[in-house]
Amino acid sequence: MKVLIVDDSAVMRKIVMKALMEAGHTDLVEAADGKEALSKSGDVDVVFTDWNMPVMDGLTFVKEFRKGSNVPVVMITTEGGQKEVLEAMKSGVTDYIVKPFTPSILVSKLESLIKK
Amino acid sequence: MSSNIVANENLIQDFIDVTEEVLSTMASFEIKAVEVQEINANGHSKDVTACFDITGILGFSGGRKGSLLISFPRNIAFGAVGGMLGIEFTEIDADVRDGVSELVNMIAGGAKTKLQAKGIDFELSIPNTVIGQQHQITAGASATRTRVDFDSDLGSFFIEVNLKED
Ligand SMILES: [Mg+2]
Repeated sequence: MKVLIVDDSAVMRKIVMKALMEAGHTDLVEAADGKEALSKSGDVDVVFTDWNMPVMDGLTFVKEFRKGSNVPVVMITTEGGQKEVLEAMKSGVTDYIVKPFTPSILVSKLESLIKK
Repeated sequence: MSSNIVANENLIQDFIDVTEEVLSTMASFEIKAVEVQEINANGHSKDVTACFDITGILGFSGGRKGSLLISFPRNIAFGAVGGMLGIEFTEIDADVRDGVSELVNMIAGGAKTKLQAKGIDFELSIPNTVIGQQHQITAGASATRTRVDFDSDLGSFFIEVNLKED
């Protein structure tokens, strides 16, 4: 199972990858913005994406990605307001994690999405 | 006037709570706010902030305007970012800079969510870092600039909240 991790912060990508790898998920791809993510999303099974990124933000990425895929997308972002969550869900986001988060939240979201 | 001060203290408390939560959750780094001061009232020059070795800064726009900065001595930056990644740092490299950027991003985002619930809205810029011993940052003249000093096992650091009046 292949997981795409999209975040402009290399540290945040490392934190997410470390949490997933420690839970046994090792087939991981990373991208630093939405544009790079689109080019790498062809064969992934789950996507974790940040919202605020340069070049192409996470919301725009999800809208584009949804034109050709219904793979689950989890938004990991500092934008935890009701307005933002609603906007993300309307754009096709499957689930939502607000930073700061613990590794266990990340892994449990992934595993519940795989089961579905 | 007094109601303004109380309102502002509430806003600052949100920033304090989020800063403690972010560092504790993401880095297992326990901190405590020890002093809150209005910068202009304490003999600092009006718009220049004297910083430690590395500072993360992020702007607010599109509603309430202003900025947030967090400034660390190098050893605290190493401790905080090291805690996030589970590794040890001895120099300010790309990961330390990126980690400090992400910390200010998370604190601003958390504060934004709390302030939104109080009817105060703004957009967040992409965060940046400034490096250098005793660098200074000019955040621009503003009505309300508040510095919060935090203490930790590794020493102290501060955040500065710069919020312009509507
Ligand atoms: Mg980001």
